[in-house]
Amino acid sequence: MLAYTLTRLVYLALVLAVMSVLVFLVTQAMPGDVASMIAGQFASKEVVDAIAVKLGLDQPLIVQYGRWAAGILRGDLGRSLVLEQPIAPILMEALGRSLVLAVVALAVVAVVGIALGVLAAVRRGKLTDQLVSGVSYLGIAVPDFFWAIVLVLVFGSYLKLLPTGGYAPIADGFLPWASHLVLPVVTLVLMLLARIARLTRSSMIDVLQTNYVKFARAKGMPESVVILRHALKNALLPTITVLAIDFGLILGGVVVIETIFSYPGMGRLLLFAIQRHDLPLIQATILIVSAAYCLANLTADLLYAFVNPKIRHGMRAS
Amino acid sequence: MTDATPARQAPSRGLLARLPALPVSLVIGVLLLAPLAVAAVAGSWLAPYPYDEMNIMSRLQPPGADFWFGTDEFGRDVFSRTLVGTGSSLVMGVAATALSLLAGVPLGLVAGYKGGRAGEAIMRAMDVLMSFPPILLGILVLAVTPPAQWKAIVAIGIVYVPQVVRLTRAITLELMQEEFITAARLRGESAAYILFHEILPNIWPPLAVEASLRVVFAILLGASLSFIGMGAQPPSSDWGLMISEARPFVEQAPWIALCPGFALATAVIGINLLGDGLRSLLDPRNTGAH
Repeated sequence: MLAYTLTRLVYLALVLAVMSVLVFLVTQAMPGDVASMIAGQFASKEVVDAIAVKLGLDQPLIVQYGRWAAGILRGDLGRSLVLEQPIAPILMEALGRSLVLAVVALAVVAVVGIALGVLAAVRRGKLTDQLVSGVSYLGIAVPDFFWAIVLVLVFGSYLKLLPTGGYAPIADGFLPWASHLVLPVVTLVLMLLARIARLTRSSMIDVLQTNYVKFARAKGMPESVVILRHALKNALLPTITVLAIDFGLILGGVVVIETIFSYPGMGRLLLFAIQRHDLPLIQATILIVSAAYCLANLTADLLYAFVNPKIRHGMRAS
Repeated sequence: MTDATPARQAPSRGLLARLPALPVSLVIGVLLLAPLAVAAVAGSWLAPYPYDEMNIMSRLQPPGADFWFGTDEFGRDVFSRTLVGTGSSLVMGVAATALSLLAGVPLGLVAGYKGGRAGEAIMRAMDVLMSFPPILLGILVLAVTPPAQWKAIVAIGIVYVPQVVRLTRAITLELMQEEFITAARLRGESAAYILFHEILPNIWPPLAVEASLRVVFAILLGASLSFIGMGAQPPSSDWGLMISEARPFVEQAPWIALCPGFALATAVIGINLLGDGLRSLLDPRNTGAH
């Protein structure tokens, strides 16, 4: 297991290195030239050239890439052209907010999705089962931004229960902070619920047919103990793996949700950077979000290998 | 996707008699998609108003006899716009999927059949592409130049190439174990012959199932890209773009967003059902635990 983990970590480092080259090259190809952006539109050519020399923009691409990559390894992500500040602190703040959103959404998906899945498995083929699959199907049938608009309409505009966007730091109190999270979290949950509920349902159905569950029942254990303690524990393994994948999905898909709810996280930072042609900021946000996405996927793979010795040994052999 | 025509010729008795043999999800899927297919082909001809005709006198009209689903902030008829937008929204998904198949199937065949260094290089490149979150990869491709719909199609196509390559390679590897491939090799057939005459005809059923489900993701990703301003551009009435433009007016005039939203949901549910139906029709191994 340790050898497998190490191999995967080395591989991840390689993938991230290739990714950083790609991100760097693509952003180099974007219109807009850093030196003339800093100099302003009325600057003379000499001023622009001087800034380019000062920033090392006149050097070959490979040197520029080396300097950029070395900076990242030291935790220096460069300076934002538009905000005129170092990127790292801005980005960390935004990443923190996005992570809060992702963690809360994931926790809700886990609890609600697993509960619905167990319920559907226990009452398999009955009305409850069909209701659960019907409701969770709706969540994936409609794009997240459409759900977001419906939720804003119902809870924000008509019922006036919740703020329709924005963010309140937790320093302002728990309630304002939490109330800004509700609608984005519900939107994310609607998107991810179906998969978790269906997966839990099918693995629960498999586990309920195994001998040890039959044995536990035969021993005269109450049904609730059989289901919650014996069956669920084993049925959850595949679900946990998918939850790790979902965490990556939330982080990756955060651009749309954050835009709709004006939530100041990574996604909005990225769109802001693209709209203002802030090349260093674009590079840093894309790289960091993608790295987080890779880490979440790696965690999913490792969890899967950890719970499934067959996979673990199969992979080591190859 | 648009060859979902059987439902439109449904009145023939022979077909009705055969219907029970078809999976229910396939039939419902086709029934949901048939009107969309008609709208995609003949939308601008069927629409009661031109999709871009502005009429300041009738801004933000609620649904009624004149405007079935109301009007938007420029007084444009929402129903007509949704109808005309069908083509744009569905074509984006279908064309992107076709592109990813076009690039992915040959790469997957080579990776599976040849293996070795070339195969390894292809698969590692796919790993890198898959390491980007889909929408970010799309944004990365699109942010280089001013946005346009065809660029969004190319971007979505690139996003889904790795999945096609992986699937094609996996099926190819599986087929290579089969006796008819060994026989062809022993006959001394060329690699090209084996790839195109023996393997390719056998990989299309699982690929068709995969593609039908992939189209859904492509349509949703396309709508998301249009929504954040990187796909279809105004005055197009692409559904994602329509929903995006409707946002500032969602309290006064929710119908502007709801109409394309429901259209999108119908398309997604329809294609999902069609894909499920295709899967049980084409791939009897996959009876599904769900």
